[in-house]
Amino acid sequence: MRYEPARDPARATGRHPGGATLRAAAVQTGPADGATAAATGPHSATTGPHSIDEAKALDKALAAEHAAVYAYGVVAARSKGRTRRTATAAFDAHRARRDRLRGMIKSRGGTPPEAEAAYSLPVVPRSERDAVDLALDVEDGITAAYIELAAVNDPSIRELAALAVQESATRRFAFRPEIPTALPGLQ
Amino acid sequence: MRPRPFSRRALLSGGALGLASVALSGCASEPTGPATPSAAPDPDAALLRELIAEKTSVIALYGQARAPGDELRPFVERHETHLAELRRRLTGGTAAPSSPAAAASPTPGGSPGEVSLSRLRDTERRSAAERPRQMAAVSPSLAQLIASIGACEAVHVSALSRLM
Repeated sequence: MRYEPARDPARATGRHPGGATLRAAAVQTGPADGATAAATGPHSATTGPHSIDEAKALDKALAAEHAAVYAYGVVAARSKGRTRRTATAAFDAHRARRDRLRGMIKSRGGTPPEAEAAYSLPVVPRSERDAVDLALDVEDGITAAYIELAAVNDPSIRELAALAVQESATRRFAFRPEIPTALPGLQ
Repeated sequence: MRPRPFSRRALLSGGALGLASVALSGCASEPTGPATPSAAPDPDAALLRELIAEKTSVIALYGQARAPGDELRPFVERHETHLAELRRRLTGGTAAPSSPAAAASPTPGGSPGEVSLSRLRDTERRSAAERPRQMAAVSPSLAQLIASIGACEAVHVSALSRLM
């Protein structure tokens, strides 16, 4: 998820705006993909020509986590009871993921992007339902960000991405028990 | 190497293109006889076959499950979506448009009501837990598909718990 910084509120586009959420950059498998894999053995994904840029994907995932931490602060503040407890747990989980990503970026010699001071959310929750809608939007964006990260070459990052996608999709279900797609992050 | 953002449609059709090339290269090599010992297997094709077999078994398992009403049907449909996409990747989009459910033959002797929701949940949990490891050595686009399938299976674990 990448909500725009609050200093640019004109970019907020509605309740579940496609433009405000980070969608997965699905990798297109080119004609050489299979051939390369066959030629270079089981770890060819680490040298494959169609993976995405690792540093950029890590930065995007971290940016999404920054936004999620911000958004869950709002969700928790505008909800109560079970929704609030779920939002609080989600806040903690995303903060932990954020810190892990920061560490990974630093360990690779990068500079982790900082959080914005504020974000322009697609909807300011005025009811419990609004708060849940925002939480679903957050998790959909997080899922998309980690699906994108799953295309990097480093197997350890792929594993992190896979686990994060599972957590995000499950957390979405905890907020509202519906399963809108068979392929989260891709459909 | 540049990031190549594509839509899901592009992903799926791109995956099909990629596998088409795999299939074509596979066809081209067949007349030359058995694979040489030095030829490494295509990790994507090998895993796709494994996943297709697994999905077929899971769909069959759901067919033997006991649940009120038609509550398991959406679960089966999502698995069928996974199966269809996996087959498309393997065949390069030329798979016969048969119903995945029809191809999933139940275990001999199995009948509806013999499989508990608890067993289904355990199966989904094991599948989801396997996905991160399976992604390690495959192409980036297949890694994304497996991650997405694993997420769906993880949600199935929660959803089945609500039915119990």
